[in-house]
This record gives sequence, C-alpha cells and structure tokens, in this order.
Amino acid sequence: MTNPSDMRGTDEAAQLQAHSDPAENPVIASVLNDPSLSERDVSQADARAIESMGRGELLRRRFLRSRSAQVGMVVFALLVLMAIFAPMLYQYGPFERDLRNALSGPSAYHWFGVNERGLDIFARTMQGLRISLVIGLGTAVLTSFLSVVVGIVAGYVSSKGRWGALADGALVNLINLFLVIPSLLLLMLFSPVLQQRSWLWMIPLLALFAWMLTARVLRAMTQQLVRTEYVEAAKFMGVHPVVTMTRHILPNIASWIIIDTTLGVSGAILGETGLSFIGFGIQYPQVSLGTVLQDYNISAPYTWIPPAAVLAALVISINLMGEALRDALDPTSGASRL
Amino acid sequence: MSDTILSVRDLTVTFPSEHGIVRAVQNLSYEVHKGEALAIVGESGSGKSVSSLAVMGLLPATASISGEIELMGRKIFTLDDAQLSELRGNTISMVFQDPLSALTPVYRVGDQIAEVVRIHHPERSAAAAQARAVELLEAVGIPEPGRRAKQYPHEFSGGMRQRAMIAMAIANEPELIIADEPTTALDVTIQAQVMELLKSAQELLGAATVLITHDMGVVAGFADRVLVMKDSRMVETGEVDEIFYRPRETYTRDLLSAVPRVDLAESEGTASVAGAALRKVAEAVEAAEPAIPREERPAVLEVEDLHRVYPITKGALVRRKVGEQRAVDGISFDIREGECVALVGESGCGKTTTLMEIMQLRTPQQGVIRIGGKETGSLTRKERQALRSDVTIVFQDPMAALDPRMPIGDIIREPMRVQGYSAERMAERVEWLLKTVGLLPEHAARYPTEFSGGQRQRVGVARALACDPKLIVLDEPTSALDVTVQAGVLAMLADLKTRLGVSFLFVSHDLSVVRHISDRIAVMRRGRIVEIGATEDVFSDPQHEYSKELLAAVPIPDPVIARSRRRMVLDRAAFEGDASEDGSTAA
Amino acid sequence: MIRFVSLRLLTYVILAFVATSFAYLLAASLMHPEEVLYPPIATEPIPPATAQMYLDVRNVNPDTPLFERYATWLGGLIRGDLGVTTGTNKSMVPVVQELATRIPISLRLVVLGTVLGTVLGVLVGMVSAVRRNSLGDRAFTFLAFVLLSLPTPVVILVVQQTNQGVMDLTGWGLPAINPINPLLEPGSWESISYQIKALVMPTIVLALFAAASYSRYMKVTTLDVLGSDYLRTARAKGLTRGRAMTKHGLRMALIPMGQYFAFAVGAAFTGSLFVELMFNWQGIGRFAVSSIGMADVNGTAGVVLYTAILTLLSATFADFLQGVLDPRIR
Repeated sequence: MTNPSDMRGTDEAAQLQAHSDPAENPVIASVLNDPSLSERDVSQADARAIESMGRGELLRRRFLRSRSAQVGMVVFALLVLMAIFAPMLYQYGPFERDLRNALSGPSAYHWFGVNERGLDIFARTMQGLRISLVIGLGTAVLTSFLSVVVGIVAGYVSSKGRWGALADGALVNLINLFLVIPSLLLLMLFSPVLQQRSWLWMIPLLALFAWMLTARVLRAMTQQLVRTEYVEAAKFMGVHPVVTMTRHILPNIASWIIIDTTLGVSGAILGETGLSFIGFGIQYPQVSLGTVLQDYNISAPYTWIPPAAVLAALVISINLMGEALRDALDPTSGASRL
Repeated sequence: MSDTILSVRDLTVTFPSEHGIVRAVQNLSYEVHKGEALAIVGESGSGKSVSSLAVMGLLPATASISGEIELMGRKIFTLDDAQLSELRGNTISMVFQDPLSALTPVYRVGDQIAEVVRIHHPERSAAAAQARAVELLEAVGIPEPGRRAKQYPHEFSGGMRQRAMIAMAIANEPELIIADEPTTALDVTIQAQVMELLKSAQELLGAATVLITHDMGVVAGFADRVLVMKDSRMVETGEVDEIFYRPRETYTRDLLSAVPRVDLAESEGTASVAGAALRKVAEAVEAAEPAIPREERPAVLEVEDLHRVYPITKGALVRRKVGEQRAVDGISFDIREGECVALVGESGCGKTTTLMEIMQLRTPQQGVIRIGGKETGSLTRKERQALRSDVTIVFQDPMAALDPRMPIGDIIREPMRVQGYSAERMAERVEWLLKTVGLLPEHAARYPTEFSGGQRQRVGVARALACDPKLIVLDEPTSALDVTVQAGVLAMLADLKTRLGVSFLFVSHDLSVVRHISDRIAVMRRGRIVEIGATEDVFSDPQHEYSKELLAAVPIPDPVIARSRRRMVLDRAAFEGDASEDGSTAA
Repeated sequence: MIRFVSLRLLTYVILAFVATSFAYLLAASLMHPEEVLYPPIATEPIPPATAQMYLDVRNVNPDTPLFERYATWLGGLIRGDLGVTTGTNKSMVPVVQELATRIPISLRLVVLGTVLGTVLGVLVGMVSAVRRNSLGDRAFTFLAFVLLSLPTPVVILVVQQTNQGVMDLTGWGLPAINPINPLLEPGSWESISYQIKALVMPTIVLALFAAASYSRYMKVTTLDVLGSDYLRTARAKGLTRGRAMTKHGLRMALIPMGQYFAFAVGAAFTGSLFVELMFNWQGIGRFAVSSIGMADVNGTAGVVLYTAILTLLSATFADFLQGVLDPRIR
C-alpha cells in the first residue's frame, strides 16, 4: 500500500535526507553513533528493568550462585537417589515382619530400628519416601497446569466486557467458597472413597484443592499484564487472543509458575503427610512418610525421628530451591529510605 | 557578600549493585548563598537527586559517601541521626516529586502539616499547631482551608497536594529549601502555579533554594544560578543568563539546543541558545509542505461528533447509575494525507479516550469515525483485520511498550505476521525498518532490555511502520524520554513524515513539543475541542480563553522573557498569621 | 464504613450457608452410616422395621431421596437443631449438644496460641525487616523457614519428645495428654494449675506456627514500607528513624496484613486438629476426625457449619480492621 506522498527515490527525498543527516544535525548523531549497545552504561532504570525481567541466563546464573540453592539441590538429589536405589539395600522389606525384634532400636540389621508391629523402619521410610515423592511431583505438575489455564483465562477474560466480568466473578466466588471450607475436611471426606481404586487418586484429589490459591495469584498477574502497553499493542495489531495469551502473557509469568510448581511439590508432600497421619491419606497397605509417622512412640524416639528427619530434609531442600528461585527472579534490593 | 548557607565540596556517592559499583555522584562541588535560587539540571542518571538526598542525610545505609557538606557552618557528616532530625524540617526542608506517594495516605493532611510544626516546636499545643496548619494551607492558596485540612491526601488533586507539601516545607521558615522535580508529575497550568508559589515562598522567606529539574523552561523562570550535571559529574555552572545565552561546554549547548520552545516564531532573534536544534527540525517540516493544498488531499481519518460517556454507578450488589462522566463530548476533526495533527490538552481532557476509540475500529457510542473513507461501524471482520495495518500506534512508555521476552526483530515482525507477509518479505522489511529509525539491523536478535529508552521508542516506531500504515497514532511518544533523546526521536519522526508521507495523530500535553512537528493542532478540554487550526495560527494568535491560558503557562527557556512574567502569589497575610477576613487567595 | 462492612458480612453469610449445604450434600452422598446395620459390622440380622426407624430418626435413610433429607436438615437448622450424631458407634447425641461441649475446649486451646503467635510474628517480622541481614534477622528467617517446612505432627512430636527428655532428666515436665486430670478435685488449685500446665505445650506449638507465617508476611510488607516515599517525607520533616517507623510505617505495614487474618481461622482449625489428636483434647477437631471416620453425616455438617461461621467472623473482623486502618477504603 504505497502512499502517493511517499517520496522515496526522488530528488526531493535526497535533499530532505540531508536535513536529518547525522553530520548535519548533531542531535541525531549523538543517538545514532552508539559505539556498542551492550557496553553502554545502563541507566538505573534500565538496570532495574533487567533485574526484574529476569532473562533466562541471568536467572540461571543467580540461582546457581545462591548457596541455599546448591544445598537444596544436593540434598534433593541425594534423597531421590536413595528412593530409587534403596530397595537394593533392603535387608528387610517394608512389609516383612520381624516380631522377635519388635520395638528395638537401630542395629546392624535394622538401620533405623523396628516398630511395634515388627516392621523395619528404614525400609518403610524409604518406601514412604518414594510414594511421597511421586505424589508431590505429580500433584504439583497437575496443580500448575490447572491453575495456569484457569488463572490466565480468567485474568484475560475479566477485562473483556460484561460476559467476561461475569465469568471472572463466578470463578472468584468459587475459589472463595473452597477457601471457606477447610480443605482438610473435604479431603478427608473424599479420600477413602477414591483410595479404594488406587493410591494414585491422591494426586488429582490434592491438586483439586491446591490449584485455587495459585490460580488467584496468576489471575491477578494476568490482569496486570493485560493492562500493559505491549499486550494492548497486540490487540491493536489484530493478534488473536489465544495467541496473545500464549506468546505474550505466558512467557512473562513463566518464572512465577516455575517457582510456584517447586513450592507446590513441598506443599503437596506436607498436605499428604498430614492426611495420612490421621488415617485419611494413603491407606494400608501402601506406605507413605505420613503413615510411617503414625506408628510414633514417645518412649521409643527412633520410631519417628528417622522418618521425620527424612521428611524434613525433603521438604526443606525443595523449599530452599524454591526460595532461591524467587530471590533470583526478584532480588528486591529493599532500598530503605529510613 | 551574602553568607553561604550550603557548601558542598567534592561530594562522591557510590552504591553497590549487581553490576558492580554504581557511581551516582562524583566530585561535586557547589555553594548556595542566602536568598539565592540554584537550579541543578541534568538528564536521568545524572545524579542530581542523589546529591540533594545526600545534603538532607536521607541516603540509604548502603550508600558510601565521601566529601564534605556544610550547612550554615555545621558539617553534616559529623552529625548523628538525632541532630540531623533537628535540622530537617526546620532549617532545611524538602519538596518531593510525587505528592500522592509522598504523603502518608492514612493521616489527614492538616495533621501531617501540624506534625512538622510540633516536631520542632513541642511547646505549642496540638490545637495551636492545627490552627497554624490551616493558616499555611490558606497561604499557599488552597480554598476552604479549614475543611481541606480534615481531608485525606487521596481527596486532594495533584496540584493541591503539591501546595500542601510546600506548606509543610515552609512551615518552620527554613533557611534552605530543596525541591526535587516538584512539578514533573503535574499538568502545565498547575505546574506554572506551583512554580510561582515556590518562587514567592522563596522571596518571602529569603531562603536559599535548590531546584532539581530536567526542564530548562522551568529553570529559566526560577533560577539565579544554574549547575549542569551529566553522568554523575558537574559539567558547567554559572549565572542563569550566562548559561542560557553563552554556554561554554558542548554538552550544555547540546542540551539547550534540544529543548523545544513554544515560542518558536519569536525565538528566531533571541540570544537564548535554547531550541536551536529543534528549530531546524521545525524548519525541515515546514519546508516539506506538500504542493497540494490541504483540502484537496484525501482524508485519512475523519471523526464526526464523537461521544464517549462512562456511567458512574454506586452500590455493590445492585448497581444503579448516579451520574455520568463525559470523557469525550462531541468532537470532530479530520486528518489529511501527509499531515500531522496534534491533539493537546491536560490530563483528563479526553485525548487518550479519543485515541482508544479510534484504535478500537468499532462503532462508537455516538458519532462516526471514518478511516480512509470507510466507516468503522460498518466493517466486516476481514475488513477490520486489514484496516489494522493502516492505523498503528506508538505508546508513551518505552519500557512497557515492547514485550521483554521477544527479540526486537520478532516484535517488528508481529504485525506483518498477522497480515500474512512472506518470510523473505518480512526479513527484508525488518532490515529496512531498523535502518530507517536509526538502529543497526544486526541488533535484531537483541532483547528490549538491552536498549535504552530512546532506542526502544524507535523500535516502537519501527513496529508501527511495519505494514506501511496510512496513519500512525502517537500517544505522548516523547514524554518519558530525556530532552536530548526526545530531540532525536522528534527529528526521526519529522524525517519519516516528510520522506514517507505518513500521517500522524500526535497526542501530547506538551505544547512545546507539538509546536515543532505538527501542521494542525486541536486543543481539548473536558472532552471538547475548544480550538482547532493551523499550528502557527493557534500559537501566535489563540482565540479561546483556555488556549491562551495554556500557552501562557508553558515555561519558556529564556531567562529574560521568563523574568518578565513573574508575580507574587503567596498570601503574605495568611502566612504571617493575620486573621484576615477577606482571605485573599492567590492564583 | 458501616455499610462497607455490613455488605461484606452479607456476602460471607451467603458463602457460609452455601459452604455448609455443600458439605452436607457431599457428606450425605458419600458416607454410609447404614452400614452399621449390615454385616460385617452387625453380628445379628436386624428386622427391617427397626432398621428403617433407626435410620429415619437419624435422617440418614438411603431410601429417602437426598434432597428430602437435605430439606429436613435445613428445616432443623433454621430451628437451631442440627440433628443427631449418626456414627457407626450407634450413639445418638444431639449435634448441638456435642458442639456446645466441645467448642469451648477447642477455643480455649486455639485462641491463646494464635493470638500470641500473631503478635509475636508481627513484631518479629517488623524488626527483621528493619534490621535486615543482621544476625537476628537471619536467625529468625531461618527458624521460620524450617518451621514452615515441617508438618504439624512432626513439630508436636518434637515438643513432646523434648518434654519427655526433660522429664527423664529432671523428673519435672508438662502433662502431655489429657487436659484435665480426672484424679484431682475439680475447681481445686491443683486441678486448675494442671489445666494451665497442660495448655502450655499446645499453645507453644500453635504460637510457633502462627509466628512463623506472620513474621514472613510482615517482613515483606514492612520492606515495602521502608522503601516508600512517605517514610522519606516523614524523615525529611525531622522525625528520627524510630519515630518515623512507628508513627507512619507501622500502620501502613499492617494494612495489607488484614487480608491474611481472614484466613487465619482456616489455618488455626487445621492446626488445632492435630494438636487435639496428639494431646488428647476432646475438642471440635477430634470430633471432626471421628465423625468422618464413623460416617456421621450430621456431625460432619455441624463441624463445617462451625468452621464456616468462624471464618465468617474472622473475615468480618479483618474487614473492619482494614476499614479502621485505611481511610481510603471507607
């Protein structure tokens, strides 16, 4: 669509070109003659922009440098390795009873000791670790997926006229409803029923109650992003809404999604442990760290300290990684004006 | 010789940061004498604000400071927090930039002003301090001061809040007042009022004042002496006339010549260096007037009797309409091919709403919008999609206008992708576009965060040009940029207009900027166009009252002219505590 | 402001009602208390007439349509009657009576610990933010981090084990189970002091958790306040660091905390559940676990109603608090 007033290639154009020639007008020159963009002294505002935008490499670098991240990763890796290879080290399986040694402390044969029912605590802890890990990871991934889809769509749609606002409002109220009822009670209601089929049902069950909190946060972030100029620009360019959501909104909240997923793993593990502990989580005969803790005996500390320690190490290592990620993304310098 | 109130010697301030040590101020030295007004000017990142915070002793603990600062003979760096607190608000006070965030939202305005009195005069009773606060509000020209004192900051307008801040600053008759960009966030007419108030306060108190700003026009009207800073160092200092008429350093000259002047026609013969570079731009624009007269050129955009009304509803469960807000109240104008029309007005006048209405490409609430002859109300989906490439937009904030996760090549490609260009054509155009806006094509793979504000704005313009639009809408494209960068971008826009024949709809609150680049100008106020005509006509001989008011309020970067416009606006009687019944309020 | 709070209150009441109904319908459809009448629980066959009467009296007859049962329950609710317990232990106690006995016990347990923990958390959080990166800040942050990484049962076990250890060493310790010593004369000084001692460990546990959560939130909001413009203005007026923070900063930092208080109840309830179980207090939490375990439909609904009302109250309180602190909302 050429413009008749377009004078490219004509003599007048050459003359006018001279007017905006860097040699003629030093002001234009001062901006054009930038020796190298990357070596340019970034102003405060731009430096801040770089930090808060968090490009992939910058994030990775900061994350890897943090000591808590390193500790977390090492411990987590160790635990995963233990969970995978432990069965090869079992001297007694998790379901084998050794009633002669019931309720005895750590020994050469029973590294963590034996509980009241004659079961080897080490084997049970390792078995529980595997199940807790699977549940944690599975729930976190499912939760993220659900909350991303619902959160982004709700956030985007909320600004789109009456129907959008209605849909968004309905969703917010649904979330509030679930927050009024302690999710623990609902989980206790549903869990035994589903467990009869398979223990894997814990994953969608836990995810069902965990996605709401994240969805709220993502919805708020999406609403903020929708108001930014570049998303508006996409709208004015005629970009399809779904494309806008995937190409513009999703990558910009990706970092938060990753952090949330990481912390979601530990949250799911804690939730499942609590449930199992009161008997509504993983059911017999399956074992999770929570069910191992059920057999606690105050006069025999070895019955609960080892599994608790393993649990603590697991959750703490995951949380360390999550916190380090969060710090890498948003290193609030906390410039105090005090 | 008047005594030295403030003496800064060899001040250096550094901050630790992730990118190493950031030197905010290096080896800065200056003096301020009693009754003198010093203006510290510089662009962003020059270190001007940091230096004044150092004087107040309000820098964060992470800052390393060296050098010497003496305030009335006392060395600031030897004092501890308690001693400094005695000085702050009493001997030295500060007015900050953004009055909404600078006032505590949960306390009443009157209480906050009374607080500064009670801190330094604890012997006065609470009631006396309250009364004094009301007196001060009256002195700075706030109507109904008694009622207003009981209100909260969010109930004040921007200009009123800044007046309240000034009232707080002068409450204890300080020897030194520091004003850090006090009017940057305000509208032009309010800015003029607040600067007048500040100047009046300074003259009444005989206080030394340090004004920190990037606006040379404001400097010309206020300062006795000027200090120019660049990249944490001092470049030049001198009397205001010297700086404006005979600047010695190149940077000062470049800075001044990049300043836009609203009195372009008259500035031809003045001695002020200000505005020289942009005058060239304006001349280029004028010289490039197309041969065909305006009326005979086809219309790119036609707006007829456009209305946009927002209902104001109350009630949470059942919303009922209690009133309406007429954001756009019946405006009509048109833009011809190759023409640049400017829409100017202060905040809330409806210019942004008008923009959005045009960009939506839908039937307006009331009125007609025609683009290239086609009514936006009667478009099919396909037509609308095609039209999206004809009308494009450049936003105000270069930081937020580009997706930080996309390399700029992709950003520029996006509109072309929507229109279905082939890959080769896109690659070709990306190269040409980057060159046209003054960037290097090799940088197409870089991300926006690696570019400066001015460069990002150029990318925004490149994106707007991507599909050969007929009309580019620009929403305050240079407001967020430094003066020299602004001049470069304006020059580029002028060049594009003359070379490519693209029409512009330039929305701005800055009359000086539009003076240089627009052919026609429409002045908006409260949703209506109060005056519309050729730029030179409107600027040299404004017809409407509001246009005259607006033009009179724009600061002129020429000390002689600015001085002739001064007047005293502080209510002396109220300040000194006379209970005068007529309560003469100032402008 | 009254209008603002009362409007939100109305929303919460509706929400509470919907939540309780939802819970009742769920419980009624998922739980099968009639199983007590059939093998393997019942050892002898029961005549059908008796069975029907048994089920009807408790309003859990699976032959009656669900909505009819719901309507009966709802009718009772309006009259203030929540039905009778319908657990597999065959007991038939009016739910309201059970709640009435148990609620004071639970409240006594929870309120002290939560309030203490909240105040502590707010203080620690604020000090942590002001003295950022000091030894105290890092220690408290680490402590809070570890605490929040542990499930409630583990923390309780640690406390109990420590208590046991101290008792083994010195012979003196706190009572670990049973809030009331049945051997002591009720009302006597020994009985009351026993009760107070029994309260110590659970309070510590609940206070620790509350403090850990709130200190983190408070630290974030205080950091925001520390970087704010109005604090700078307060200093520019001549207020010293401490006074500027207490007068201007504290109030502004507390405003965003208000919304967290609303959900404090949910967390406190969950925490108290474990505490009651492991310290053997006969409170609502314990009742909730046994109700669900024994397929007690009415009991479960009663518990949900209690938590819903509690949430409602705390949310209203939080709104009220925000209205008081922040005039922009009014």
